[in-house]
Amino acid sequence: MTSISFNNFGGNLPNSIGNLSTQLRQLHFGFNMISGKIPEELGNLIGLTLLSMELNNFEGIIPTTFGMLEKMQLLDLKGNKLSGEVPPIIGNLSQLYHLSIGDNMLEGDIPSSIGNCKKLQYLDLAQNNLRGTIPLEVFSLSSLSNLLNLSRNSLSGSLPREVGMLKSINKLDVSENLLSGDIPRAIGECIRLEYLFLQGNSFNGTIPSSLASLKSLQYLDLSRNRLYGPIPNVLQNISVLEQLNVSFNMLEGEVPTEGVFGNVSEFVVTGNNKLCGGISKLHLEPCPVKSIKPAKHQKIKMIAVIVSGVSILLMATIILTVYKMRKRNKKPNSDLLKIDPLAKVSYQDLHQATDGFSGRNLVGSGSFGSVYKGNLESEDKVVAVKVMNLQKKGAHKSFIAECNALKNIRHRNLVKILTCCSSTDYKGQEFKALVFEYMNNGNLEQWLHPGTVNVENQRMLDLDQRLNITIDIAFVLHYLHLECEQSIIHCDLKPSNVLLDDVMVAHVSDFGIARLVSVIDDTSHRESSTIGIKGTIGYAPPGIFIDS
Amino acid sequence: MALLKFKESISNDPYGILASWNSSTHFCKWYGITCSPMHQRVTELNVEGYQLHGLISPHVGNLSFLRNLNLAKNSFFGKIPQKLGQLFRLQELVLSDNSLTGEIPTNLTSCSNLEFLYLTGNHLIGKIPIGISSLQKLQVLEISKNNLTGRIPPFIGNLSWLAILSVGDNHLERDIPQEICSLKNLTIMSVFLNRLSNTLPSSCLYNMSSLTFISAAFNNFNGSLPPNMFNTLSNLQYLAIGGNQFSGTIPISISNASSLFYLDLDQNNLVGQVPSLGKLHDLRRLNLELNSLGDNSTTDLEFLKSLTN
Repeated sequence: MTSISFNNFGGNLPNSIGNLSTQLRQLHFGFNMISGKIPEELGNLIGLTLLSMELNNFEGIIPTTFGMLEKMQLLDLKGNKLSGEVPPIIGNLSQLYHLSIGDNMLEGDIPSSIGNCKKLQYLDLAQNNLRGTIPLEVFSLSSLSNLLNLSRNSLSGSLPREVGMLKSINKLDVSENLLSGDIPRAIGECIRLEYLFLQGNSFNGTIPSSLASLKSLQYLDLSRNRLYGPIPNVLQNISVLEQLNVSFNMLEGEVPTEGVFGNVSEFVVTGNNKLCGGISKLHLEPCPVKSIKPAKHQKIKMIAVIVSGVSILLMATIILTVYKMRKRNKKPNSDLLKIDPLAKVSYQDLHQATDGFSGRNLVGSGSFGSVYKGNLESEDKVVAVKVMNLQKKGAHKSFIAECNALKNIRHRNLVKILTCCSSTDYKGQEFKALVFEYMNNGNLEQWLHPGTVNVENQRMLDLDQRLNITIDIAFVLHYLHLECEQSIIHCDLKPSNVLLDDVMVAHVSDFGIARLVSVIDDTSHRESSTIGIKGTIGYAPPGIFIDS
Repeated sequence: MALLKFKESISNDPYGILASWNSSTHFCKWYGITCSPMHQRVTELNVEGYQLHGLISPHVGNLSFLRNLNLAKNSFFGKIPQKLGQLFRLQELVLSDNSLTGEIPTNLTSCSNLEFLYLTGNHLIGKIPIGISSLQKLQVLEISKNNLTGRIPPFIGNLSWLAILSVGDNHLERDIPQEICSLKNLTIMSVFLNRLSNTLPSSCLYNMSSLTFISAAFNNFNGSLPPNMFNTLSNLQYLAIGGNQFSGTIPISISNASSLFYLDLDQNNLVGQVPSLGKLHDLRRLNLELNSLGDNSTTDLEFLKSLTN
């Protein structure tokens, strides 16, 4: 170990420094006035585990010879005048847990090779001239527990939802950059966060209420962005939140009054001209009254109850009548209005739901993808996740075809689609999946032609059930062909695409090669065709081959 | 029977090493006991490191032929019995790493044959007893990691055989007496982490060519290091004087301390240019942190060249 830190040493570091023993583990030069270039020869000291040169006047580039220092655990070059790019060889330093090269004049992109430093707990690249987007590899560093500081650069693009993979990060600072887009909901998954600094960017969208899941959050700065919408009330619930700054955005609505919002010294909301309410010391306009103020007398209350009761009844009658009238000249879209907004699920949700798409949960695989059984926590139900095999030619098209077919249809004999997911997986590969209701009784194929595997619990369909299933399928085909705004031809109807639920009701599935046929003019012309082979040999109608 | 009394005062014996201590076997065959072959008298009692919990029975003082008493690394508590002073044949007393309290018994000074005294790692209080000066044969005095107060007594200079003086991590005050320089056999001087002040006895220290190890870190020493300080310390391997208020420059004579492998001068008020360290071929650790060394001049780091050539 050699340390000369915290003195008044000036001058240059001699190149002969590289002649020190290769046994040397620690070398500390920090807090002096040493100038000149960092000698390339430092790379000879392959025994180094700790090298600190912070707060000097070093200039020039970070030598690429540092790539040889494979035992390096701590590298601190903060606060010098280093220029050039962050050398990608930094990725060679696989033992690195602390990398601090902030406050220099480094430029260019953040090298994605930094994702190879799998032990990194502390990463400080702040106060340089770094550009480009933040490589996703940075967020794959789940080891990051102390600090990720990218502030005061010129980074652009969005803060990707992968930020949620930083499960143990304590302090995240991307402030004073050129970042835009939404603040990802997934930020709520960084559950160890105590300091979150996003100020001085161009983030837009609303403040995600998922921030309230950050139970340890003490400092939150969202100021000087383009955030709109309300301040989520749930931010009141973060009990340890000490400082909140949402100033200079475009926020509107009521300022909460509890938690951090209870003490005017702990939060800043200035520069948002549409905010109202809050504690009196804020001197904001009171919010417009939303509800009837509680009446003083019981009688008035009674009258109010009666009046509102009657009006509700009246409205219900009107709605029912309208509904009946509309039902007569049926428009399928009207039903859709009542569907709950599709739950948003991330790749991570699905990954979790299916135990990482494990083989145990694989329930089938079709032409363009595999179907996994999964337990989606957010929906609290068992689902089937159809993951598209995007490597396969036509899988993209199939995904689109299925989405197009499913987006406007709803029938008791169709498999209900819950949501879909179009994202990237942990490796950065494109990921597309559809999430369906899970059907407990498998597919009709298994019932009609049981394999020899499950001989012991084989069951047979009785005639009644077979008839019901046939009727179910007929119903849904009638619906698809004649009752939809745009006719849909399934193109691959076969027993393995007929799924059976708990009570043996049939649900048709797999619209991967379905066709939409417009019937606006009489000459039925194809609007959305599909790929070469249509259907399964043996099940496809002869006509389809003639057609093609 | 002193040994059975010793056993009685031990309340916990997790390894059961005292199980053999019963009247059915001759005490010379008991675990940890060595007897003189001729007269079958107990000459050694060694039960180091068995997590024994209890008091040290004063009856041990009756084992008048005892030459070696080693109770180290146990959980003995209470005071060191004054009666140990009766053991005039005692050469080695090892009570380190227990939970002993009270003062170092003054009676110990009558153990005139004592050569090795290890009391490190207890909770002893009070001063270093004056009587220690009568232990003329003492070679090792290790009393570090206690709560001892007062001064390092000047009469320590009388212990002409003393090779190891280890009094670190106590609450000792004032200076290191000049008399220490008369210890011609002293190889290890460890006084770190006390409240010692004034200058090191540097006017004579450089004469002590026997010294291999000096640890005086984390005290209140001040003054400058005399230029000739290292002239004759050619055997010095370890020098740690960090965390004091030493001022002035690093003596050029340091290059004579050619055996140095560990050099900590950190956290002082040292100034100026660092002299050549070129002759310190074995140097493995060099800590100069937190001083005011260097003048922001181009020659400041010349000494690094001397290290590498």
